[in-house]
Amino acid sequence: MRTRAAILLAALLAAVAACASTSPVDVRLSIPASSPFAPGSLTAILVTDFHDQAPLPDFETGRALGDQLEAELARAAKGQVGRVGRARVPAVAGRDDPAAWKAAGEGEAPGTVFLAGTVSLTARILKAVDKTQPDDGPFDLAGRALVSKRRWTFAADVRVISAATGEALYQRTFLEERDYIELDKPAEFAFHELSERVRTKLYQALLGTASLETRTLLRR
Amino acid sequence: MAGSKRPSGGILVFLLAVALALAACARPLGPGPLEAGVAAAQDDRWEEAVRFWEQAVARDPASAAAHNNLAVAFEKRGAFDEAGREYEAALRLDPSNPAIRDNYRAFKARVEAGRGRRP
Repeated sequence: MRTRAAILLAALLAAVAACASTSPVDVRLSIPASSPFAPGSLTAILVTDFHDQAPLPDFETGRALGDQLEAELARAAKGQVGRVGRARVPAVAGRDDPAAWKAAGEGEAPGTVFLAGTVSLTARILKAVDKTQPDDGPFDLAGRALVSKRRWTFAADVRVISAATGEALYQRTFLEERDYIELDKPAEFAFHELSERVRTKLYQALLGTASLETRTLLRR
Repeated sequence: MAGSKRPSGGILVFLLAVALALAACARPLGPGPLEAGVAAAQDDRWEEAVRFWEQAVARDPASAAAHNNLAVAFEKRGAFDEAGREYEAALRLDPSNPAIRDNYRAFKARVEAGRGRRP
Protein backbone atom coordinates (compact mmCIF):
# COMPACT_ATOMS: atom_id res chain seq x y z
CA MET A 1 0.00 0.00 0.00
CA ARG A 2 2.82 2.30 0.96
CA THR A 3 4.63 1.41 -2.31
CA ARG A 4 1.59 2.29 -4.39
CA ALA A 5 1.28 5.65 -2.68
CA ALA A 6 4.93 6.38 -3.38
CA ILE A 7 4.51 5.47 -7.05
CA LEU A 8 1.47 7.68 -7.39
CA LEU A 9 3.29 10.56 -5.73
CA ALA A 10 6.24 10.11 -8.09
CA ALA A 11 3.90 10.06 -11.07
CA LEU A 12 2.19 13.19 -9.85
CA LEU A 13 5.53 14.95 -9.52
CA ALA A 14 6.47 13.79 -13.01
CA ALA A 15 3.21 15.14 -14.37
CA VAL A 16 3.79 18.50 -12.68
CA ALA A 17 7.32 18.63 -14.07
CA ALA A 18 6.09 17.72 -17.56
CA CYS A 19 3.46 20.42 -17.43
CA ALA A 20 5.84 23.01 -16.03
CA SER A 21 8.09 22.64 -19.06
CA THR A 22 5.19 23.64 -21.30
CA SER A 23 3.92 26.50 -19.18
CA PRO A 24 3.69 29.97 -20.73
CA VAL A 25 6.80 32.15 -20.68
CA ASP A 26 6.71 35.85 -19.91
CA VAL A 27 9.14 37.93 -21.92
CA ARG A 28 10.09 41.58 -21.60
CA LEU A 29 10.11 43.28 -24.97
CA SER A 30 11.38 46.58 -26.19
CA ILE A 31 8.52 47.55 -28.46
CA PRO A 32 8.84 50.54 -30.77
CA ALA A 33 6.50 53.21 -29.50
CA SER A 34 3.93 54.92 -31.51
CA SER A 35 4.64 58.28 -33.03
CA PRO A 36 2.04 60.86 -34.04
CA PHE A 37 2.08 59.13 -37.42
CA ALA A 38 0.72 55.77 -38.38
CA PRO A 39 3.51 53.18 -38.49
CA GLY A 40 5.18 53.05 -41.87
CA SER A 41 3.31 56.07 -43.16
CA LEU A 42 6.27 58.45 -43.29
CA THR A 43 8.27 57.77 -46.42
CA ALA A 44 10.40 60.91 -46.57
CA ILE A 45 11.23 63.81 -44.29
CA LEU A 46 12.41 66.98 -45.98
CA VAL A 47 14.01 69.38 -43.55
CA THR A 48 13.81 73.09 -44.27
CA ASP A 49 15.76 76.02 -42.92
CA PHE A 50 13.84 77.27 -39.91
CA HIS A 51 12.60 80.83 -40.04
CA ASP A 52 14.78 82.84 -37.67
CA GLN A 53 12.69 85.24 -35.58
CA ALA A 54 15.64 86.85 -33.84
CA PRO A 55 18.56 86.87 -36.31
CA LEU A 56 22.00 87.14 -34.75
CA PRO A 57 24.84 89.01 -36.43
CA ASP A 58 27.28 86.12 -36.21
CA PHE A 59 25.18 82.95 -36.32
CA GLU A 60 22.40 81.60 -38.55
CA THR A 61 20.26 79.74 -36.04
CA GLY A 62 17.55 78.61 -38.46
CA ARG A 63 19.97 77.19 -40.97
CA ALA A 64 22.07 75.52 -38.25
CA LEU A 65 18.99 73.79 -36.81
CA GLY A 66 17.98 72.56 -40.26
CA ASP A 67 21.49 71.19 -40.87
CA GLN A 68 21.54 69.39 -37.53
CA LEU A 69 18.07 67.93 -37.95
CA GLU A 70 18.84 66.66 -41.42
CA ALA A 71 22.07 64.97 -40.37
CA GLU A 72 20.72 63.44 -37.18
CA LEU A 73 17.32 62.40 -38.49
CA ALA A 74 19.05 60.47 -41.25
CA ARG A 75 20.55 58.32 -38.48
CA ALA A 76 17.69 58.39 -35.97
CA ALA A 77 15.01 57.57 -38.52
CA LYS A 78 16.98 54.85 -40.26
CA GLY A 79 14.67 51.96 -40.98
CA GLN A 80 11.60 54.01 -40.15
CA VAL A 81 11.75 56.66 -42.83
CA GLY A 82 12.91 55.96 -46.36
CA ARG A 83 14.59 59.27 -47.05
CA VAL A 84 15.69 62.30 -45.12
CA GLY A 85 16.71 65.25 -47.24
CA ARG A 86 16.85 68.98 -47.43
CA ALA A 87 14.13 71.14 -48.84
CA ARG A 88 15.14 74.65 -49.79
CA VAL A 89 11.87 76.41 -49.31
CA PRO A 90 12.83 79.51 -47.33
CA ALA A 91 10.00 81.50 -48.81
CA VAL A 92 7.40 79.49 -46.94
CA ALA A 93 9.45 78.41 -43.94
CA GLY A 94 7.64 79.26 -40.75
CA ARG A 95 4.49 80.38 -42.52
CA ASP A 96 1.21 78.75 -41.73
CA ASP A 97 0.13 78.65 -45.34
CA PRO A 98 -1.18 75.26 -46.50
CA ALA A 99 -1.45 76.34 -50.13
CA ALA A 100 2.21 77.42 -50.20
CA TRP A 101 3.35 74.18 -48.61
CA LYS A 102 1.19 72.12 -50.93
CA ALA A 103 2.76 73.88 -53.90
CA ALA A 104 6.22 73.23 -52.46
CA GLY A 105 5.38 69.56 -52.06
CA GLU A 106 4.17 69.05 -55.60
CA GLY A 107 5.74 65.99 -57.20
CA GLU A 108 6.92 64.51 -53.91
CA ALA A 109 6.18 60.87 -53.14
CA PRO A 110 3.15 60.00 -50.99
CA GLY A 111 4.02 60.03 -47.30
CA THR A 112 6.48 62.91 -47.66
CA VAL A 113 6.49 65.58 -44.97
CA PHE A 114 8.29 68.86 -44.46
CA LEU A 115 9.92 69.58 -41.13
CA ALA A 116 9.74 73.32 -40.72
CA GLY A 117 9.00 76.07 -38.26
CA THR A 118 10.43 79.07 -36.51
CA VAL A 119 13.38 79.43 -34.19
CA SER A 120 14.99 82.05 -32.01
CA LEU A 121 18.15 82.18 -29.95
CA THR A 122 18.33 85.16 -27.62
CA ALA A 123 20.52 86.23 -24.72
CA ARG A 124 20.20 88.63 -21.81
CA ILE A 125 22.43 89.56 -18.92
CA LEU A 126 21.23 88.76 -15.40
CA LYS A 127 22.68 90.07 -12.16
CA ALA A 128 22.68 87.86 -9.12
CA VAL A 129 24.24 87.81 -5.66
CA ASP A 130 27.45 85.88 -5.68
CA LYS A 131 26.70 82.88 -3.53
CA THR A 132 30.26 81.74 -3.60
CA GLN A 133 31.16 84.54 -1.17
CA PRO A 134 30.88 83.90 2.62
CA ASP A 135 27.34 84.38 3.87
CA ASP A 136 27.21 87.05 6.58
CA GLY A 137 23.48 86.94 6.96
CA PRO A 138 20.53 88.09 4.87
CA PHE A 139 20.96 91.79 5.75
CA ASP A 140 24.57 92.11 4.79
CA LEU A 141 24.11 92.22 1.06
CA ALA A 142 26.16 95.38 0.73
CA GLY A 143 29.36 93.52 1.32
CA ARG A 144 28.56 90.84 -1.23
CA ALA A 145 29.37 91.11 -4.86
CA LEU A 146 26.94 90.77 -7.69
CA VAL A 147 27.81 88.43 -10.50
CA SER A 148 26.64 88.69 -14.05
CA LYS A 149 25.33 85.74 -15.99
CA ARG A 150 24.26 85.47 -19.55
CA ARG A 151 21.02 83.59 -20.04
CA TRP A 152 20.58 82.05 -23.47
CA THR A 153 17.05 81.10 -24.49
CA PHE A 154 16.38 78.81 -27.40
CA ALA A 155 12.82 78.58 -28.69
CA ALA A 156 11.70 76.43 -31.56
CA ASP A 157 8.24 76.00 -32.96
CA VAL A 158 8.45 72.80 -34.99
CA ARG A 159 5.85 71.71 -37.49
CA VAL A 160 5.51 68.57 -39.55
CA ILE A 161 3.66 69.48 -42.71
CA SER A 162 2.14 67.11 -45.21
CA ALA A 163 3.63 67.61 -48.67
CA ALA A 164 0.40 66.30 -50.17
CA THR A 165 -2.04 68.65 -48.46
CA GLY A 166 0.08 71.40 -46.94
CA GLU A 167 -1.61 70.82 -43.58
CA ALA A 168 0.37 70.83 -40.34
CA LEU A 169 0.13 67.26 -39.01
CA TYR A 170 2.08 67.93 -35.85
CA GLN A 171 3.19 71.00 -34.01
CA ARG A 172 5.12 71.49 -30.83
CA THR A 173 6.91 74.40 -29.20
CA PHE A 174 10.16 73.81 -27.38
CA LEU A 175 11.81 76.23 -25.00
CA GLU A 176 15.20 75.70 -23.42
CA GLU A 177 17.29 78.04 -21.29
CA ARG A 178 20.71 78.01 -19.77
CA ASP A 179 22.80 80.47 -17.80
CA TYR A 180 26.48 80.93 -18.55
CA ILE A 181 28.89 82.72 -16.27
CA GLU A 182 31.18 83.35 -19.21
CA LEU A 183 29.52 86.38 -20.74
CA ASP A 184 31.38 86.04 -23.98
CA LYS A 185 30.22 82.47 -24.62
CA PRO A 186 29.52 82.44 -28.35
CA ALA A 187 25.99 81.93 -29.64
CA GLU A 188 27.05 78.81 -31.50
CA PHE A 189 28.12 77.15 -28.26
CA ALA A 190 24.83 77.90 -26.56
CA PHE A 191 22.95 76.76 -29.65
CA HIS A 192 24.63 73.35 -29.66
CA GLU A 193 23.90 72.78 -25.99
CA LEU A 194 20.32 73.97 -26.04
CA SER A 195 19.32 72.54 -29.39
CA GLU A 196 20.56 69.12 -28.32
CA ARG A 197 17.85 69.01 -25.66
CA VAL A 198 15.25 70.07 -28.20
CA ARG A 199 16.39 67.53 -30.76
CA THR A 200 16.26 64.67 -28.30
CA LYS A 201 12.69 65.52 -27.37
CA LEU A 202 11.73 66.07 -30.99
CA TYR A 203 13.03 62.69 -32.18
CA GLN A 204 11.18 60.94 -29.39
CA ALA A 205 8.01 62.77 -30.30
CA LEU A 206 8.35 62.21 -34.05
CA LEU A 207 9.67 58.70 -34.22
CA GLY A 208 8.38 57.35 -30.95
CA THR A 209 10.45 55.90 -28.17
CA ALA A 210 10.67 52.23 -27.46
CA SER A 211 9.21 51.03 -24.21
CA LEU A 212 9.51 47.83 -22.24
CA GLU A 213 6.40 45.68 -22.15
CA THR A 214 5.63 42.18 -21.01
CA ARG A 215 4.07 39.61 -23.31
CA THR A 216 3.46 35.91 -22.88
CA LEU A 217 4.78 33.24 -25.22
CA LEU A 218 3.03 29.90 -25.35
CA ARG A 219 4.69 26.52 -25.64
CA ARG A 220 1.66 24.35 -26.32
CA MET B 1 2.99 -21.24 -14.73
CA ALA B 2 5.39 -18.33 -14.99
CA GLY B 3 4.14 -17.25 -18.48
CA SER B 4 0.56 -16.76 -17.33
CA LYS B 5 1.54 -14.63 -14.39
CA ARG B 6 -0.59 -11.48 -14.19
CA PRO B 7 1.22 -8.17 -13.65
CA SER B 8 1.16 -7.11 -10.07
CA GLY B 9 -1.08 -4.30 -8.90
CA GLY B 10 1.98 -2.12 -8.25
CA ILE B 11 3.15 -2.36 -11.84
CA LEU B 12 -0.32 -1.56 -13.13
CA VAL B 13 -0.50 1.52 -10.95
CA PHE B 14 2.96 2.56 -12.12
CA LEU B 15 2.06 2.15 -15.80
CA LEU B 16 -1.16 4.06 -15.29
CA ALA B 17 0.69 6.81 -13.51
CA VAL B 18 3.29 7.12 -16.28
CA ALA B 19 0.56 7.22 -18.89
CA LEU B 20 -1.17 9.94 -16.92
CA ALA B 21 2.03 11.94 -16.60
CA LEU B 22 2.62 11.77 -20.35
CA ALA B 23 -0.99 12.47 -21.22
CA ALA B 24 -1.13 15.39 -18.83
CA CYS B 25 1.09 17.43 -21.08
CA ALA B 26 0.82 15.65 -24.37
CA ARG B 27 3.52 17.00 -26.63
CA PRO B 28 6.21 15.57 -28.86
CA LEU B 29 9.25 14.11 -27.15
CA GLY B 30 11.75 16.36 -28.97
CA PRO B 31 11.41 20.16 -29.02
CA GLY B 32 9.08 21.15 -31.87
CA PRO B 33 9.31 24.44 -33.74
CA LEU B 34 7.00 26.07 -31.22
CA GLU B 35 9.31 25.41 -28.30
CA ALA B 36 12.45 25.98 -30.36
CA GLY B 37 11.04 29.40 -31.19
CA VAL B 38 10.43 30.17 -27.54
CA ALA B 39 13.99 29.15 -26.72
CA ALA B 40 15.32 31.36 -29.52
CA ALA B 41 13.20 34.29 -28.33
CA GLN B 42 14.40 33.86 -24.76
CA ASP B 43 17.91 34.00 -26.16
CA ASP B 44 16.98 37.26 -27.97
CA ARG B 45 17.19 35.60 -31.41
CA TRP B 46 13.82 36.87 -32.55
CA GLU B 47 14.27 36.49 -36.29
CA GLU B 48 15.09 32.82 -35.77
CA ALA B 49 12.09 32.53 -33.46
CA VAL B 50 9.85 33.89 -36.19
CA ARG B 51 11.11 31.25 -38.62
CA PHE B 52 10.36 28.49 -36.09
CA TRP B 53 6.87 29.80 -35.41
CA GLU B 54 6.14 30.15 -39.10
CA GLN B 55 7.09 26.48 -39.43
CA ALA B 56 4.80 25.70 -36.51
CA VAL B 57 1.91 27.47 -38.23
CA ALA B 58 2.66 25.68 -41.49
CA ARG B 59 2.56 22.33 -39.68
CA ASP B 60 -0.51 23.15 -37.63
CA PRO B 61 -2.48 26.16 -38.83
CA ALA B 62 -4.85 25.65 -35.89
CA SER B 63 -2.10 26.29 -33.34
CA ALA B 64 -3.24 29.30 -31.35
CA ALA B 65 0.10 29.30 -29.53
CA ALA B 66 2.08 29.63 -32.75
CA HIS B 67 -0.10 32.52 -33.93
CA ASN B 68 0.18 34.20 -30.52
CA ASN B 69 3.95 33.90 -30.51
CA LEU B 70 4.23 35.22 -34.04
CA ALA B 71 2.08 38.18 -33.00
CA VAL B 72 4.44 38.95 -30.13
CA ALA B 73 7.44 38.79 -32.46
CA PHE B 74 5.76 41.09 -35.00
CA GLU B 75 4.85 43.51 -32.24
CA LYS B 76 8.46 43.60 -31.12
CA ARG B 77 9.48 44.31 -34.70
CA GLY B 78 7.01 47.20 -34.86
CA ALA B 79 4.95 45.43 -37.55
CA PHE B 80 1.68 46.25 -35.84
CA ASP B 81 -0.64 45.29 -38.71
CA GLU B 82 0.80 41.77 -38.90
CA ALA B 83 0.79 41.50 -35.11
CA GLY B 84 -2.89 42.40 -35.01
CA ARG B 85 -3.74 39.78 -37.63
CA GLU B 86 -1.84 37.06 -35.75
CA TYR B 87 -3.39 37.95 -32.38
CA GLU B 88 -6.84 37.84 -33.93
CA ALA B 89 -6.12 34.44 -35.49
CA ALA B 90 -4.90 33.15 -32.11
CA LEU B 91 -8.02 34.44 -30.39
CA ARG B 92 -10.31 32.89 -32.99
CA LEU B 93 -8.64 29.54 -32.37
CA ASP B 94 -8.54 29.76 -28.58
CA PRO B 95 -10.81 32.58 -27.42
CA SER B 96 -10.65 31.70 -23.74
CA ASN B 97 -6.87 31.53 -23.44
CA PRO B 98 -5.99 34.13 -20.77
CA ALA B 99 -2.44 34.69 -22.01
CA ILE B 100 -3.58 35.44 -25.56
CA ARG B 101 -6.35 37.69 -24.28
CA ASP B 102 -3.94 39.62 -22.05
CA ASN B 103 -1.41 39.99 -24.85
CA TYR B 104 -4.07 41.24 -27.24
CA ARG B 105 -5.51 43.66 -24.69
CA ALA B 106 -2.07 45.20 -24.07
CA PHE B 107 -1.39 45.33 -27.80
CA LYS B 108 -4.69 47.05 -28.55
CA ALA B 109 -4.20 49.59 -25.77
CA ARG B 110 -0.83 50.46 -27.17
CA VAL B 111 -2.01 50.77 -30.74
CA GLU B 112 -5.03 52.84 -29.77
CA ALA B 113 -2.89 55.20 -27.70
CA GLY B 114 -0.59 55.86 -30.60
CA ARG B 115 -2.98 55.80 -33.50
CA GLY B 116 -1.27 58.27 -35.75
CA ARG B 117 -2.12 60.36 -38.69
CA ARG B 118 -1.15 59.57 -42.22
CA PRO B 119 0.70 62.30 -44.13
